[in-house]
Amino acid sequence: MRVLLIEDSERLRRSLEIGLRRSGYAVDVAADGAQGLWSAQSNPYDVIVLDLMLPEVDGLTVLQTLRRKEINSQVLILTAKDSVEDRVRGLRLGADDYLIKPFAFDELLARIEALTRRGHGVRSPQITIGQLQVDTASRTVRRGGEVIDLPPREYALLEFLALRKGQVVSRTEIEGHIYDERVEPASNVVDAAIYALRRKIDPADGPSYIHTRRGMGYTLSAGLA
Amino acid sequence: MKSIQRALIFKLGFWAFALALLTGIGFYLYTRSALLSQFDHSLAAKARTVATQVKREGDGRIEFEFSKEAMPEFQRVFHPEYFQLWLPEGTQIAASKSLRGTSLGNAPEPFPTECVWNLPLRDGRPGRAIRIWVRVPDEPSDEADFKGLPGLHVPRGASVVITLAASRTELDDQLGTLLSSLLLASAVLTLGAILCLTWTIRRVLRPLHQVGDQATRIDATSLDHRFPVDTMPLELQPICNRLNDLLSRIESAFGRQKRFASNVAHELRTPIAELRSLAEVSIKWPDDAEQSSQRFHEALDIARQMQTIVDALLALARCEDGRQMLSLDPVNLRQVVNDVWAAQQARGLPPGIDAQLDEIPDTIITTDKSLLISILSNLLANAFGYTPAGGFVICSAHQHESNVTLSISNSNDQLQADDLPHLFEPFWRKNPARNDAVHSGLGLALVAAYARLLQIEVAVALDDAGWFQVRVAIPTQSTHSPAKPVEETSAQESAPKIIC
Repeated sequence: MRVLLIEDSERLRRSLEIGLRRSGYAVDVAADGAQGLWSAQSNPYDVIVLDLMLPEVDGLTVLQTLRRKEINSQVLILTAKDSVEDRVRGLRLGADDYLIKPFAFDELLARIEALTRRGHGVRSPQITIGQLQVDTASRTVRRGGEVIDLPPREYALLEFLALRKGQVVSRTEIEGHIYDERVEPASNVVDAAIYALRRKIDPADGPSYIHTRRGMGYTLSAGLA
Repeated sequence: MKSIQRALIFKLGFWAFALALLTGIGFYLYTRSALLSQFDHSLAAKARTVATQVKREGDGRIEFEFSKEAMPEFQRVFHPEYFQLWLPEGTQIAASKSLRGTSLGNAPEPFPTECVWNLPLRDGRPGRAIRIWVRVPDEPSDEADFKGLPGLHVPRGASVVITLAASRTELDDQLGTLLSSLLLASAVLTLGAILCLTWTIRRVLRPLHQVGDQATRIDATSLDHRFPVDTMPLELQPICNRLNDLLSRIESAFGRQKRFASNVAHELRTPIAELRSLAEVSIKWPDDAEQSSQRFHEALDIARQMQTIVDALLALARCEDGRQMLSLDPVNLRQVVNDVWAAQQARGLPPGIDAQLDEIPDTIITTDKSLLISILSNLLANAFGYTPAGGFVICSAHQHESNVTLSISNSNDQLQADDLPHLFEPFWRKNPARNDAVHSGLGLALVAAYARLLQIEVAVALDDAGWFQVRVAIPTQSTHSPAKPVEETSAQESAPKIIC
């Protein structure tokens, strides 16, 4: 899952970036509203974490601009402004959630997870595909009750496919949601990641969960393609 | 509870009643006097008529020929009138039959002085009597015909005294009716006046009630309300103007207070959020020693930033509570300015900025040196910090009779005239974002607070060319008596000027 963090405090931006990356998110950061607005219009983010009092362009203007341009990424406002008026104004301008500083990092993570699920129309944190269970809350994967250990990026790939189970997901979409601006994915990086993921989640004697749709992308489902 | 409306109605009603009563009494007394005078004239006329019945015969004898038919009122039994005729020396000539041998007494003047008086009549009715002199006419007859006849003799040209009394019941009834009518009229007039006054006073005081109602509805959420001035009566316009001024000041103070609270929250929430996130991420994903060391340094920076904010807030609180101690000593102004200037230079000028320090007067002032240094350091740091690349910072001074004015000017590309009134507010910054860990937004607030304590006048101005200037008027002979700050709000030249 890909997150854009627009925050003017360098120290907060750095620690949140580290925490979110370690949690398996692809993270892009912006130090001011103008840069954040540019990034948000350039990449398909699942969640945008947005400060309000920003240099160049303030957070509410960023939010208004995004909604006016029909960019439907989930937006979580992260700010020190705690009045009811501020919260109401932010939510009414199109924010999906509002978190006041200071906050618990786990709460921020939980809200980003919830927003990610909501963005894909999924309510439950547990997604089941046949014998395969993906728990987006604990970020664990089980097959037939057995825990499968996945590195963060492979988990992110599986979670993205699981959130859109049964749907064809293109390579471009995978690249856009799994990799951040730091990574320049090679032409076959998605295929390689899919290959590695299949080896870990597919049963030895059964069909693969990930089906290749030639020329279109991949589908995660329990049945035969 | 005192009420202007009730007081006006009561007092004006009282005066209306008193006026009506006095007018009624005056009218009554005048009318009574006129009626009595008329009554007395009537009595006198009747007395003269009776007296015309007295004649002096040719021999000097007095003769009284009374016609009962012409004047039956002196004969009747029921409600009669009375008279007595006397010679001046006291001899009674005649009396009405109605007296039945009694006399009309109780005159206020001794007999035979002319007078008028009230008396109870013989039948018990209240009466009024008159005593007058009437000259006796001579009968044109031959004196020799009557010579030697018995009777009272008087010389030619003599007079008689007649006393005549009549009932004044009818007069008293008229006066009583008049008095009752006047009292009733006074009461009705008073009642009418009170009703008219009530209506009029309510109508006249309606704008005052409106102001009161509007003032009652004003609370902390409606400080933007203003009283209408143009539609108010002339007498209320100054009050409404003053109330509007007061509301403006309260609204401004509330705004500053809200901004202060919001800014304090933001200034402290952000570093706390930084610290908490740093700690939580570090605990969750402990890294190698090098990264841990970097995070400790970040935590230390955050703690220092928070300490700076808290120290500045405490210093402000000490100034406002009057707990800031002053250590007054003779200070060489030139040396202090040069030292502060050198310290700023030592920190390194931002690239592309030219700085110029003019000659500072070699003046000895009595002040708190550390607070003065703090003021000048803040102002110079701001000048250097906010001057754009390619800009200038100029510091100059002028000696005046009672003070030295230090001017710190810098080229500026951010501040507008509207910003000047906010410059000395705690946490106010041109850029609302808090991405600047160097400036806490409390420096100028501290400058203002210290300036108040040191009786230093600080004024800021922005000229059309964009030069921002801070003028610091330092008294050369400070009295350090308590004084209240005065703020000027005109935007361009003298906004916010802080006089201590």
